Amino acid sequence: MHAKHVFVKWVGLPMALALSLGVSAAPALAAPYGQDAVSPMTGSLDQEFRAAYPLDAPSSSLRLAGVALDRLRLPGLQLSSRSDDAGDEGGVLLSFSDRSGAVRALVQIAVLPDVLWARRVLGTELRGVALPLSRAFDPLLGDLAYADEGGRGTSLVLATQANIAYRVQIVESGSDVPSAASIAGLVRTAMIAGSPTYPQVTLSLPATIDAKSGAALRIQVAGGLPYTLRAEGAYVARGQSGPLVRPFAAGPITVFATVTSELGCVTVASTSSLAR
Amino acid sequence: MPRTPVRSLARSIPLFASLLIACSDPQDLKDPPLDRADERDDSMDTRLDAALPADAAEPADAATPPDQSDPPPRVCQPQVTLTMAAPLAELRSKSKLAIEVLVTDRGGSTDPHPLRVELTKKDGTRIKTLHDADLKPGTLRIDFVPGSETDLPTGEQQIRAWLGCPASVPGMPSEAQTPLYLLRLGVTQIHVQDGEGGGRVPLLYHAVDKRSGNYFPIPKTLPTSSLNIPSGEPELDKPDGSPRLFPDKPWSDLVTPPVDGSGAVRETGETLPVSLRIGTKPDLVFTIGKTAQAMGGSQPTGLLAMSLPPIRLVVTGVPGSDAARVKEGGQVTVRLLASPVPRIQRVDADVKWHFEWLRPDGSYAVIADSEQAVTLRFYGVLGNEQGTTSPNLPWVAVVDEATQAIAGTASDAAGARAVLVQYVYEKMGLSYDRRSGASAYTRYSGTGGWGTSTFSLAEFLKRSRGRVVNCSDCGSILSTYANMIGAKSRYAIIGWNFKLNPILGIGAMMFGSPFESGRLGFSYHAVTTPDATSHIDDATLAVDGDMDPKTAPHTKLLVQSLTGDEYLTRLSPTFGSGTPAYQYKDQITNAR
Repeated sequence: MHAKHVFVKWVGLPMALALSLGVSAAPALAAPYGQDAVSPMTGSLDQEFRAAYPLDAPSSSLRLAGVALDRLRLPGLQLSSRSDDAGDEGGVLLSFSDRSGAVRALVQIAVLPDVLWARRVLGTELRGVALPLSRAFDPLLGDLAYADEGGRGTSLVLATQANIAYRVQIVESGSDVPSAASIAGLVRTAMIAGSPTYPQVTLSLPATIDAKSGAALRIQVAGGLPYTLRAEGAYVARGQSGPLVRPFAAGPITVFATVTSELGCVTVASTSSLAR
Repeated sequence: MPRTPVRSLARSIPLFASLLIACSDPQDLKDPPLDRADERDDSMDTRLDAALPADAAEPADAATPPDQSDPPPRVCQPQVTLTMAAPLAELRSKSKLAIEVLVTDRGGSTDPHPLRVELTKKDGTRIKTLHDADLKPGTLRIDFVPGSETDLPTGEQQIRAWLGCPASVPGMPSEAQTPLYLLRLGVTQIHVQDGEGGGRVPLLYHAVDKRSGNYFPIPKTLPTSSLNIPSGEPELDKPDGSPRLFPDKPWSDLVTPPVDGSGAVRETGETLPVSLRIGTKPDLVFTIGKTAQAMGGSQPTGLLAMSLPPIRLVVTGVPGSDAARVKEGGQVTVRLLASPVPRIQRVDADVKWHFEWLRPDGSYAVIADSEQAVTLRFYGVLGNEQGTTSPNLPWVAVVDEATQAIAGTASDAAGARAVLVQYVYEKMGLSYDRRSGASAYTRYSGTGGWGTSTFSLAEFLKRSRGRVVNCSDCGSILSTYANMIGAKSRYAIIGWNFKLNPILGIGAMMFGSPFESGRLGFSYHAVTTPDATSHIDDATLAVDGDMDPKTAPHTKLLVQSLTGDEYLTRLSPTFGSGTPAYQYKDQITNAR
């Protein structure tokens, strides 16, 4: 049956190519994880993935309030770009560049309410890595960590520490760039114990707004933290005295505000209205 | 010589009768009979009316020197006739509007007669004196250049002539008048509409005012191009009287539409791009201006004047049509004869138009100096496979790049995808993450863990996370670029943990492992497909295209629409043994 399955797969291929490859119908042997081996498809891709990357290691009991982002200074590199998303969508992603402007390292930090969430985020991030990673047992990297080069983390570390998931990726290595594991250590030392506190954000719009002229958005952010705005069904202008929501047309509108605390806790708040 | 005071109106020849005779040949408007007068003696004293047939005027006999034996004239019977090449003129025209004044005296006097010709309002108020001097019987040509004057009123005015008698010969003066319509002709806005063929395709700016995530789908109702008209000012002219011009080039920013000081989108005053299905012959909808500059403010364009001959708008290259007749503030639709985008490409098309008036003989004549022009930017695409709601609409930044990359070399989906594979693989300056094959711009979620992909397209366009990518990123780039120009592309995931044949990774110089470690294997791989893996496109790598992809020498083969099986055969030595296999086959990438 297996041979028949192989025969069916070869239909439509150039015959000469098929013959030259000497396709074998013998099943591949299972091999230890992490080595050059082929494992037969024993189940879905997700099952294979979970088998390769178990996420159920014991977690640290010390809850974390977040990561002091202003302490993340990488030697020889400067912060060149940043994008903020809700923690379960990846959190804060920092790009660090050298003096020529080339991006050399990425650091991604997601502060979640609890360990389970952090582990889920870790699982999501692992799905985007084509090189099989090894479990890293260096506690400095986290209570659960996967890294390249047999777990040493030369270029890539993905890990959790309690309720924080983080990733360090060396985009372009060199003697002037620390290893991913070193940078991960910096991230770890910047972690602050405590309960995560997400910024308090209040947004309000009138229940209905004029589709042509729009309406002012009222936003209050505790602590005066900076925020970014985006909308569905509208765009946001600066306005004379504050953000002004400008609908595209009559219909529902939702405005989102993303606010990040100094410890990397991200709040995405929203409010809706109807443009008429 | 004292002038004979004007006492009463004389008969005047109806305007159109004069024009019929003067303009029986369309060429006459360019070479009016008056030109024949120019070929004669330049002296006004001797200009004759040989251009006009005998029945054109009352009377039309040229004056002849009196026979010495005839008794001197005892009565003056002056007659003045006005003839114009056209009864209307564009207010800003620098072309000469010829006014022919025919002076005769049935009493036979050949002495100079006092003649005054004026441009007046309908109520007789003088606007400008065109001639005020004595003239012997004959023809006088006056060239009036509206564009050389300032503060002319629009609408129906009059050319009036008063002809008196020589002091030595008593008689009654003669008058004549004919209407002259002064018009300010122009378009204030152009909308490109669907027309014939596939029509318009949506476009979106992804960062209004350079603010990330501030999306703006370009509404179809937004003018494609328009004049910049500050509130309260005349539409067609600046306060100094100079004409407003359409933008000299299309809006070039690919990220944001033009915005004002408060970050609100400026809806007029620029030319925004339009995406059309290839082969579309779009409709151009022109909005006719309502106001022109006047002393101290605005005035109407004159198009509302009673008895004004019909006027139409004509686009260069498109035959004129009565359906394109204009009215003040109205709209005129003209369909282009040919598609500006016959293939997948970006085209900056120069569009010119002018105005014409309907002559009594049923033919149209160009109104001098009524031209306007604009450069419109068109993207020729196959459609939209990205989605229907923001931000999953075609982005201007992506469509602009993709159509320029294809540049007319493809006109179907397969061709477009093939070009884009090469573009991503060879032209974008990207390289594979040889350290760990980790994604920089793509994130998976959803069913089974890889069911949905989110592509940080805005960050990728800025390369804010660098130029080192993995297969997920290449798959996102390729599928998004293809979908946004209408070449359907979905992603597929291959797994799990399988060996590789030597490949040539994006940015690599030689076949082999994609990794610095030398490892010949992927835990998973992402590719794109238009048809659930029957065919595969892959911009992450090239495979060995010869009969033995496992061993050297290697022949570089870009993965452009390889069959699903051939691709896996060339990718992996273990294809057919259970892995690799397509695990996800038809997944959508969401752009943000």
